[in-house]
Amino acid sequence: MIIFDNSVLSTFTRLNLLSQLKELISSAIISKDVLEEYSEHWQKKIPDWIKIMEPSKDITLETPPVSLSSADLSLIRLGLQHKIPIASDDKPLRIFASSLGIPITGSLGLLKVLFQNNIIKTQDEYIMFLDSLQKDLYISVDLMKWALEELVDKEIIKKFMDKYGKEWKKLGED
Amino acid sequence: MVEKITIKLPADLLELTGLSSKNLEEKSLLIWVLEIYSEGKITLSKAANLLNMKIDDFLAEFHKRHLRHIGGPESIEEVQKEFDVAQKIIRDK
Repeated sequence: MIIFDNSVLSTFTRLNLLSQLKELISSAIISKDVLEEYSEHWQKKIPDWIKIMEPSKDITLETPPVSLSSADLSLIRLGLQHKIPIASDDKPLRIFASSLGIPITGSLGLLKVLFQNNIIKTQDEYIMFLDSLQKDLYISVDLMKWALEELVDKEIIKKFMDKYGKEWKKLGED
Repeated sequence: MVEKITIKLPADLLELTGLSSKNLEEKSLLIWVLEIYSEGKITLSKAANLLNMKIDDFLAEFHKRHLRHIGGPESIEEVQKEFDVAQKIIRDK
């Protein structure tokens, strides 16, 4: 089981990858506060296997960072309560959750796991999703190299690099 | 109630852009929040809250400006760790 924050939930909804994610992780949680931050139109896109839960009132947080919202804090409380990881691409949430001992994952790690487990079937699809992920998340050359190496043919990497020009050429030269 | 501050801006820009003072205030806040969100200083949820926007509306504003969001892993060590966490979730399922 896993907790999604708005960033990862939005990204995987936009990428149309929530159903593929279900094949891997079977169930996930968001809080009511998180759900209510979306428009009604978007709320309808959230599938049934993502459960809406409220954290226990017994879990309190002392001096949380101002960079987090009350919805973010509800996820931290759920993480502490159920002792399960949070998926987030938001640095302040990742740092605060880690400081409390909550394991963290994110879109890039999840995307690689989807490909490595053959849920994203082809290299072209994987490249397309990595490309699109950059709309939501800055991915450095080193991180992109990590995402591609050992999984994607050099020829396909080269095509990808060519598209992104000079910065990407460094990737192939290493 | 959020405390507000006053800033000075060239008045002739209002005429040039066709904005009212109220619109300028809203637009300035939007641009500021988009910037601090893209720098990874606040979360997506906090950014949308500051603007009284829904998450999907905020993301539409973010995407249309082609901004980059710094928020995920910054090092190979960090991304490998998040990958290992994801793998463990699958094993424990």
